[in-house]
Amino acid sequence: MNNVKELVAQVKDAFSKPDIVRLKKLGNHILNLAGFDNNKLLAKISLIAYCLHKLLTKEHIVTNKNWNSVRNSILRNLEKGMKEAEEKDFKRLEKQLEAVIKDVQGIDSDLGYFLTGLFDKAKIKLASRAYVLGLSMGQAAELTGADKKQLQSYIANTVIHEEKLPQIGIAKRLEKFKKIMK
Amino acid sequence: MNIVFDASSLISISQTCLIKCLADLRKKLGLDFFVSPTVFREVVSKPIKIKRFALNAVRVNELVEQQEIVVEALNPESEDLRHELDKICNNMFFAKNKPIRIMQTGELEALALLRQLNSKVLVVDERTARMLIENPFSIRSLMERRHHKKIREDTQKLKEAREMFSETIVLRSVELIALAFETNALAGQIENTRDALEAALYAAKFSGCSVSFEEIQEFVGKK
Repeated sequence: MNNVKELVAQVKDAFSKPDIVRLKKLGNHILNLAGFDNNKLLAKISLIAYCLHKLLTKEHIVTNKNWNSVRNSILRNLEKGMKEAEEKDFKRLEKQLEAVIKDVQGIDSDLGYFLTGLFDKAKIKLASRAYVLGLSMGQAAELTGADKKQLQSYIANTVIHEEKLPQIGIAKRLEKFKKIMK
Repeated sequence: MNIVFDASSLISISQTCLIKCLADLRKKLGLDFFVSPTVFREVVSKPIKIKRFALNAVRVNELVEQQEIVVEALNPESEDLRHELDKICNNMFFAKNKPIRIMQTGELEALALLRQLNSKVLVVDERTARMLIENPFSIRSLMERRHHKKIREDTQKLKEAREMFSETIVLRSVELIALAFETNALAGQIENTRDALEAALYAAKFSGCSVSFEEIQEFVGKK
């Protein structure tokens, strides 16, 4: 957990600039770390980085009259989070992260266009990334808190399963099954 | 013959609207279908409360109520096995000397249930569990390619897993659909034509079954 403060600091810095590309890269990088360690706290930070990157790409959100107060609230909570991380008080850090998530969900709920909220979409998106990295679908869903059915539906529309891996085809599997049926 | 399902395969089949073929397959081939309580929660209890996924949960629940699929709890011996499997599967691969957790409780429960029921067939649509049973060594190379990092493996644990599941056959929802088609268990649901079969297989793929376009094309004879 040594790097947690640094990671939160990087997310805050990228968000304040704002550096959208760096936020997205941070989301992916922190998820990789989370996957290696089965670390849900890091997974939450990666979700936040991803959500902040998405918020910044939405013109109707960043030009809204409430955006500045939401932005400042997020920055304040990230700053507090950094302090908690420095004190290694990860429970309080988690509270600050939840406060950031609440800010994100609040503005998304007020101004978003979709039934599935930004934070839930982030969970699915990052869980699919964890699946690509080699975790099982269940483990990937559990890491980010994504719904397994939604994750499976999402993955079905990607090219993840087109990857050429050593594989037993449909006919061969059926053949093996029929042999034991006899 | 006892067959164990994990959540991913039931999710795929229920989304294709072909789930009733399981009842017909059961009768025609003398099969018995089982799921663990965790899988039942994932496929029925939880999504039945979510409007978007409730219908599929209802479909599976109907089969459970009709006892076409049985929810089988793990006995104490199998719970111990599940813990053992957790230690083996989730300590197989390491990055910077830290074990990487690749399998989740529900998936491990399905594997333990196989042993409890003396079953040789697991129906699973997600990729990692399948690779773990069929070719655990390939998981390491997949992870290294994806992470661009050196991944260490515990060869002993890989061998243990390989031996434990050496006789296990993995089927996916596409194989069940193909089998149902061959045995006419899809009668009344789709036409008995190659195009209809192809459509049904793609429906499973687009519901999340880990099957490629190439595999389906090869199977229906269009390659």
